[in-house]
Amino acid sequence: MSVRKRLEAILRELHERNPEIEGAIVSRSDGLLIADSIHTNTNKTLMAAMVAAIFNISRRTLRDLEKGTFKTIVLEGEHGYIVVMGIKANLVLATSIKKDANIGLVLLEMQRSLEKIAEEL
Amino acid sequence: MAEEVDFYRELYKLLLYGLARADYLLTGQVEAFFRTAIVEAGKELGKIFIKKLQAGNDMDQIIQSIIDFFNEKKVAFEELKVIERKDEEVTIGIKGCPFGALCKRFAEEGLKDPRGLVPCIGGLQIAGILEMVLGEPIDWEYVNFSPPNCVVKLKRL
Repeated sequence: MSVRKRLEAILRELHERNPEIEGAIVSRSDGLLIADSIHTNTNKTLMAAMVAAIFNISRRTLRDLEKGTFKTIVLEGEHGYIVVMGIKANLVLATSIKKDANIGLVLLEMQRSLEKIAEEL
Repeated sequence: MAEEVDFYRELYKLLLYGLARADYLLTGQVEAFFRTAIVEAGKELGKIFIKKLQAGNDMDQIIQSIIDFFNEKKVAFEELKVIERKDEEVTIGIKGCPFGALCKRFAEEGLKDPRGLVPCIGGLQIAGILEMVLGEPIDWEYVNFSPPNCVVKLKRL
């Protein structure tokens, strides 16, 4: 099974454990889409580039302000959340989460999936 | 000094350099902004091919059409040539790439992507065309970095 298929299986498992997660994406920090579990008409290529951009600028800001390595960023919107986590040096896991989700629990589950993804890459 | 003037005379090179440098200043590497810009430029060029190719054409046919177009119309490169085809990968020889001076500058200044590679503008443009026609992400890497005559590999993930 290709790396992409294995990652997609991990993302599907993340969904199954957490119905509050609407979609998930793994991208490289240059914006290349690696894997996703997005089932809407969203432009996945653009999503991969956007989450990579969020990761890149956040990582640089933390580093320049001596706050250490990037871990997580949570964007809160009127209708839900976007969470971006770093995987190793140059990879990103991002999820779209419903408004009424238990964010703490979702973050824990994402961390678990992140460790599995890191093993594959 | 003459080389420097030539670099600036072709303003598009200066603008591409600026784009890469801006990405580097904001993020510490040449990353999503630059890659997206070049891939989108490739997709714009790809609109020419989308009329000729049906979705579902295999990667080999599409790559050959792209190469034939570039070679016949003398677009950008002096010549493109398929060196090897293997499963979901194609290795392409690039001769006379117009971005060669830019790549050398990127290498000198450490403007590199997350993998430590100087971003291949030609390779990314072709990847952009492939992404558009195939509807899936295409990655690239150098087999041989020697601008303006490099060898790059394009692959489906």
